[in-house]
Amino acid sequence: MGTGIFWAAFALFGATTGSILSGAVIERILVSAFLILTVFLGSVVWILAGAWGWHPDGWLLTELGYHDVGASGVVHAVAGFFTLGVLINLGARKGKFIDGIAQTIAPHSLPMTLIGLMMIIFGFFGFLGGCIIFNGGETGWTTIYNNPTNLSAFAFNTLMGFAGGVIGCYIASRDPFWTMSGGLVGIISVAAALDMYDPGLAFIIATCMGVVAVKFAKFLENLGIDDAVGAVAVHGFTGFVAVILVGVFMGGTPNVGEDVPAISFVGQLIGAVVMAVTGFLPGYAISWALKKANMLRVPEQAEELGIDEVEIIAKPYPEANVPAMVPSEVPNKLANTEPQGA
Amino acid sequence: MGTSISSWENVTAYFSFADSPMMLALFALGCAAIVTGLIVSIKKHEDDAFDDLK
Repeated sequence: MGTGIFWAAFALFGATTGSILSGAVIERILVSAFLILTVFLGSVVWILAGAWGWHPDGWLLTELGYHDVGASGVVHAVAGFFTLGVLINLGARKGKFIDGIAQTIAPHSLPMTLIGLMMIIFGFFGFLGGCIIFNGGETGWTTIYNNPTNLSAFAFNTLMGFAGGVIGCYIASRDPFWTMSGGLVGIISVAAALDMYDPGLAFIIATCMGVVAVKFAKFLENLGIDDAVGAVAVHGFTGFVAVILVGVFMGGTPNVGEDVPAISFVGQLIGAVVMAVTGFLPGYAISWALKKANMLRVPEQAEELGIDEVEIIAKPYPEANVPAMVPSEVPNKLANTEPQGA
Repeated sequence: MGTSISSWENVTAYFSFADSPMMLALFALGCAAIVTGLIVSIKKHEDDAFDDLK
């Protein structure tokens, strides 16, 4: 069980929690504050959640039969709600809300954001596949809870989650960024029971969650919370619901091990709440303390000029100054030279 | 036990509702309905977008 791959997967989980936080707070958080928050989240907060929900002696497992093989709760819900706590103290980007109405702040490069999302989704296959354990011999593959599984179950249900999530978010938003984010929503929505869901059921769950996650993101925005990439909806809310859905669809399924209760709706519900609170409280408390110490947000003038210009002293997006449509001086060699339609 | 893709390297996994062909059929129909709904949704969106040009 204690293989290097396993260690690497856990280290990556820790880094993932920080990356979930990073997108939501862009363009106004101090890098130093972000590092303090992400070190605490990645090395303390989620470790607590993982110990409670993943370890054979974790109380969520031994007392409630908690099931969350793909980290919907112990990583995504925890990091998502930690992010929510930070966003409340951090406040919105300049110009996000005008007279209380949320504005759209376009990314520098939409194609680059989509490529980034595709890379995350591609990585998910190896990431989740690395979460199962090959024991060799007759035992073969098992999950972190020691129940039998296989790579095809993880790969197939990850694929179904991606497909359904993209469809759900597209239908609910018609937006390219949200459509690709839907791939993440879908995968996270089924990750908690990748080992158990029928692929068809995984597809249906992911589609529905794609729609609901967009609605939740709009709800958050209406509350005045500026989540630049929808991390709270995609990771926090979706992870929270995903844990509960395991109780809905898999309630009664026995766990491996003596005296370990079966999966139940109540157990999953309590587990989801524990994950949300475990994430939210430290996120809110630490960011509140940083805010009081004036160590959370960049100066207003730096935010107006852009952190790249002031702190990094770089111009990473020169193309942003180039209009989308510029007449070219190079003649179109394929065009007709004679007037048409005469 | 299991759906058509349920084993890998001689290890069998179990899926939700694998012992209930009726539920599996319903899930399959649900998936087909979602894909059909997606196509209808895209068509409706296209029509609305192009109607705005008129």
